[in-house]
Amino acid sequence: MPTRFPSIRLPPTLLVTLLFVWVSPAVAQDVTSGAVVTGRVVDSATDAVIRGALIEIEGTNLRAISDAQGVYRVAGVPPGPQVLRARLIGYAETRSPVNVPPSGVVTQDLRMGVTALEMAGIVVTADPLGRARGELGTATVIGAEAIRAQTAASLAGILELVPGVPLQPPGLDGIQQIQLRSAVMASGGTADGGQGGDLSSFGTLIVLDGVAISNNANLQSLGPRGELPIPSTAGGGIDLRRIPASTIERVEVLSGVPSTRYGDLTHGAIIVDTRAGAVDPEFLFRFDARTVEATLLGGWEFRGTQAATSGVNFARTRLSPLNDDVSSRFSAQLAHRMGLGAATETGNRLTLDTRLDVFSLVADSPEQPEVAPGRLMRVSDSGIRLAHRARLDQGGENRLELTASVDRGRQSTFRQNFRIRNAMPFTDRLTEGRSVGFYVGGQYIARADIEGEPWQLYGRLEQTFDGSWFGFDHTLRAGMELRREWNSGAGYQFDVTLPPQVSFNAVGGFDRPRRFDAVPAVATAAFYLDERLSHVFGGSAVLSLQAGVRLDMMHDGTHWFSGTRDAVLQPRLTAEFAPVSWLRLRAGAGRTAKQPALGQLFPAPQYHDVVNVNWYADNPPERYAVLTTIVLDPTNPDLGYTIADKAELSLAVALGPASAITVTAFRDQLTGSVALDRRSGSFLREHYQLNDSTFGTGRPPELIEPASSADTIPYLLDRYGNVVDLLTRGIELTAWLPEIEPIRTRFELQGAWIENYLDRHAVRHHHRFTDFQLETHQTRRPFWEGASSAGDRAMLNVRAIHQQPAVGLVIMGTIQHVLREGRRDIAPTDSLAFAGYITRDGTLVHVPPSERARPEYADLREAPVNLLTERRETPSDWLFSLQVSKTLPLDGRLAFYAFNAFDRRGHIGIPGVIPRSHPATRFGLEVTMPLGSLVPGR
Amino acid sequence: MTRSASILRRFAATAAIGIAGTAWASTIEAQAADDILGRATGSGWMTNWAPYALSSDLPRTPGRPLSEIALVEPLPRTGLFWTGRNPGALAFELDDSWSDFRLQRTNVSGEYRRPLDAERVTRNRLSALGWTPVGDATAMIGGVVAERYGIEGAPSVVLMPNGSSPFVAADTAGPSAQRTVVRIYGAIGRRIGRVGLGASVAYEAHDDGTRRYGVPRTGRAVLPAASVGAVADVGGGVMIGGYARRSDFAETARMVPLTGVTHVYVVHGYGEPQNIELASPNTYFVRFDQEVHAFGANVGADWAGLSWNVLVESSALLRLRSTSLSSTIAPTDTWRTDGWTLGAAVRRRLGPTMWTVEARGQDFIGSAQLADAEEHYFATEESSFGGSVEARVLPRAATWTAAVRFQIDYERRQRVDQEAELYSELENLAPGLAVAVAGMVGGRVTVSGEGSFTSYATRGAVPAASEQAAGYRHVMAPDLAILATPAKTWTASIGARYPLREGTELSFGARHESLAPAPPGATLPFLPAGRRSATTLQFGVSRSR
Repeated sequence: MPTRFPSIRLPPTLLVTLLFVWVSPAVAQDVTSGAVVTGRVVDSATDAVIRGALIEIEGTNLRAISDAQGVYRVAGVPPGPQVLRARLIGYAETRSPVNVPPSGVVTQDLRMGVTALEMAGIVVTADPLGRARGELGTATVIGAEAIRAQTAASLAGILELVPGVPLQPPGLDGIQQIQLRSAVMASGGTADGGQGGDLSSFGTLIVLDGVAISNNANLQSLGPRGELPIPSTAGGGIDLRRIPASTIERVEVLSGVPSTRYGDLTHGAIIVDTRAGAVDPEFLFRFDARTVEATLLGGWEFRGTQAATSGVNFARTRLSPLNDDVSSRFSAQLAHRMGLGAATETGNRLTLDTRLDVFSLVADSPEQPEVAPGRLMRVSDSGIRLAHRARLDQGGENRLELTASVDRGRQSTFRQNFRIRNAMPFTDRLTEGRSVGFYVGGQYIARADIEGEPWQLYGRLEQTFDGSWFGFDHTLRAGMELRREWNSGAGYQFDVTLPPQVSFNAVGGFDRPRRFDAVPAVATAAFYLDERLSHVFGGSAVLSLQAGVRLDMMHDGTHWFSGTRDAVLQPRLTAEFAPVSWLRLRAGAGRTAKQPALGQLFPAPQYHDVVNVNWYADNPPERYAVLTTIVLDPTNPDLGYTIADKAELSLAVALGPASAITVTAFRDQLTGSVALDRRSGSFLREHYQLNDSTFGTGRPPELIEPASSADTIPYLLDRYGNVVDLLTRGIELTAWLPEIEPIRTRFELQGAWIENYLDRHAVRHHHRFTDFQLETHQTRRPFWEGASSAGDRAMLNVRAIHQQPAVGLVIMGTIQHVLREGRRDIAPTDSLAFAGYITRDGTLVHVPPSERARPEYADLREAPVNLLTERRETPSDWLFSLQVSKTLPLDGRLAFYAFNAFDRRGHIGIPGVIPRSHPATRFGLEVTMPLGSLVPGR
Repeated sequence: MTRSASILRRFAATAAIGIAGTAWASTIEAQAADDILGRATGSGWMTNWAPYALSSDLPRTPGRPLSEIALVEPLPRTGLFWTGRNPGALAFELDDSWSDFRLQRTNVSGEYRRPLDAERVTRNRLSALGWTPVGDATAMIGGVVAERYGIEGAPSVVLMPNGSSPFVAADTAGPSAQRTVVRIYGAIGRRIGRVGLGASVAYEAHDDGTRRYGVPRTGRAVLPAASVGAVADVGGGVMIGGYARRSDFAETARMVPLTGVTHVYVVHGYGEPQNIELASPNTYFVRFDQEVHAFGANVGADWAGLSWNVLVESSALLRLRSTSLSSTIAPTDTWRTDGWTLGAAVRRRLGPTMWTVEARGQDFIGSAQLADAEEHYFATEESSFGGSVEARVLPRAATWTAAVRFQIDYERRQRVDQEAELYSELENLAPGLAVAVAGMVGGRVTVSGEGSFTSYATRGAVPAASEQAAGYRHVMAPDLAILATPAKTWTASIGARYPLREGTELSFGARHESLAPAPPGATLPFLPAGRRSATTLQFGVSRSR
């Protein structure tokens, strides 16, 4: 196999990046600058001081614990808008914004309540000033209380708080994937050929409790020619339904330029922390017309240095009122933390975190014999993951972290459908050559069974150095990531005599069973350096820089010591300048990369069965079929990383302690995204005479060698290639307005305008290519150059948040208004638009534009079809969702939610307009009850 | 004085300005229960202020029982907020805290039912309600209800088949169905000197689905509503106020034949209903979008122990019906009503008794127009008037109390289908009497017993069913026959409260209602035989401060 070795390009940002990395000393020093944030922590109900509360500066590792007088003190706090986070078991987490000057002391008292709803100013939406840990780039931070207020069933529901993400009904209805910074595509505009989500989900990294969740080894697909539709995320991002919202503590969405710590992404990263440590045990129950969900979660500290947390979640959604289709989820987590050695400022000397996650997602569509006999489907996706992290604190912010995990999935897809086919010749031959076939056809039940066992081994070693150099506070991270992914499943199995999918007459080929454990593993390695610097100028202005470089390597063997198949060097730089404490200006640029999925690197062989003899008699013993099997390997040895060059500019203005406006402009250019690239070729089809061409003999005829004639049949091979470029650009706006005190209501605006341009560098063949294959008198057919697609969407979310702390009430109404949404294809549609023609032997012959009008090309002059070149818009429309949370006795909590609360239908049936059909109203109640009083000793 | 005597006094006497409460307008809550019986239990007055009241509509509920006196429940309150539905008055009328959690189960069954009533309904309800002052000048009230209905033999395709609107549809198969309802409502009022401002909001959602039925029927409905109001203390104990209210209603129903066949009668008025045979691949879809605007004025006063208040409200309702699944801009059928509502109540203490006199009335006209017609083809003029007199013995130091209520309701409906040239004109009168007694048992438990009787009488004219076609006889004839047949309703209820600790009490209640034509065996054509009954059991926990 030829090796595609990369030509590593060095963009200008790399030079700057390397400069910073080079000059940064790797010597730890004490924190010497920054302000001191101090204050007193009191109980919101009794005003009693609270001892032992953990106070953190969000996005940093700065923290303190309140003393016996409730006083805390955090030194070295970076200037600018910051968020204080206070936590203590038995109390709801508190997040409090504060503007920090470059130096001096800021006093910020904190009030903590047993129930967050009774605390004034709780943050129940994404916080525009929140900082992702260790990240300078644009991030959206969603805290614990915002997660509770969102009444989501899974991670996808929480992510609706991110600008530009459409609202969806809560539940487990269908596959859920996130689309960070994406707009609609024009017709057919998916980068992976429609096999598993769209571009955005393809390139969004999900990190769960410090470990990247990968879907690369997911092979649950029937391939590009699958006849039986099955829901699958193969080739795309993970199904977010597997992560229950009720177990999540915090979500950070890095939509800007991430630090080099994060790789295998194009569109952003989502960092998810589940609840761990000493957590008050609680029970959550959701009641919905379609969904029931229950969660039991609790955590305990013991022996002074250890804590264990466990949680169990079960949810079930009835998918349709018309049938018994259901989707269910079981999820369980077990976390253990242990501290060893002497305590330092940042915790214990050595901290060991172990997590065990189990999940199972099942979508069951049982047979309805009277409605659709023979049709049923059951899709199961389950997994177990064991992750361990050891953190060695070395004083200050210096630490060494080792993370390792093993993730084993078990995926099972069973699809059965009733098929009616004409009788057709058929063979189950697995090697190339000619053989006598048999006939399949009539009415039968076709079954496809896909059994996958994806595995992932993951490891990360990271050293963090913290200190100061020439007046710059700096934090340097150096690390490496190793990942190995494979699939040991039994694979795609079916009864070859009752094939679930066939294409007659050898033009499309049909499948053979395939074992997944025969697919090679893919091993990747990455090394990164990340430096973060900050310096105070002129007493008040602060300059912060985050720069780094990451090298991702995909090996051509199955282990990390084999050669390199592809590699991408990814420099990243983000700079932030805060001339005053209420203003932040930020710019970032950098490169990220995403590896192809296992199924794209090693696609299934494509079988083609050329029919040489087709003698179909009424009497089955007389039937006679001869077929020649040809096996084509669609593997593309040059398939490599998708590269994303990202840039953004951002402005953040803090209007007050709890109000801010941020504006971000971004531009993401993806190059070489993976999509199907159909390659043409031809078979030789031999025709034979039969020795007896009469019926009624009671036995089949025999063919007469040699072949009486032969012709060629062109074919198209479905092959993955780095053939799609995607440009995404847009502007995001978040305005977090101050509370209007007389009505205790705060408004929040979130807007996003996003535009996509997708270029597909693959020829387009005639939409009736099958006719060309079968009709041998046709000598050629036109083909066209790849088309471009464009889509854009402008969306504005307006949230009104009304709080009544005295009665523990929070009401949040969200209006999502799609202001503009449209799409079109960009391609010539006239009859001279053809690029050339394909001959019967599969050769592509290009015709120069100047010659296309000549008479000899008259048969090629036809307008391409299936293009949407006139921009078509979806009508502007809005929908409203409502969430109400209220305290209950015994520190419980009741939440009501109504998605599309006015049950707006959208715009349907308007001539010339793309319809917009809103999902139906979904409503329900969620009750959370703490169980601490029921647990002895708490 | 024992503890339960104190409970009795609080429940029977503390709401000195209160007036025995029955709603001055029907609510969707009442209609969604989808039956004549099984609604009037306990403390309905606690939610009558919610803004989803359905004005300009007069549901046909012949033989409706009297609402429960419920002596072990808090005395019904009225006033500009509680029954005048003006949220601006909330802060003036609320100075205590109360919370109540209730679990209720109701079964309704029997053959004497309207044609679009279900054969049997089981309703499980979980509800929570609370109110409290917040600070010196603000008060809040709110609640949530979750209900799950099990319905056997559910012929109605729409949610409110017995209202004034002529647009209903009936599924002749009457399958079993399940309905989930969640309702949330609240109000906030603030007093600024002598002026009160307030707002109330409510939201209700329904989700319906048939069970094991070859023509699955799905339905959903939402009802958002809000009102704003202001009141002013003009001196001399007189309060005046005004409010504006809007409530929307969107309902969607769809039937998709999979393995079965059924007939749907689509009703437009008194003409022969459209008979749609639903067999695959035909489907039936209907969407209602309704909005109600109401403006009201209140005045009330408390003069030397005599408290009174009056409400005047003008309202307009517009209901659109669309049967196009594939287009949101398809022409729609319309139903409009305009009307007014009047309510008045007086309460005065006389010696050891408290007397309450209440009067109420509404009058409206309605007209329907089909999408493909230029003029109205169906018109209605409906009105209702009623009054009640209630006397309660105030317990003071005694350990018992009693109450008696006499109530009379009058309704008049003129409905004319100009296209079909058919009309009905019916008047009905329903006097009723309720008696309740409560006392202590064992020094801690308060128990009550109650009974009521209502006699429903009627006169007027309805179209001769024998001259009409099958659809009319299936859907309309039994409905009008019940409406035009005298009936008697009996109720019996018991209740108990048990104090757990200071301010916290457990409650239990049971009620049985029975409705039957009178005299038995009345033989109007298409009149259903038998009787109808409802039984309700409820447990609750309440807490007051």
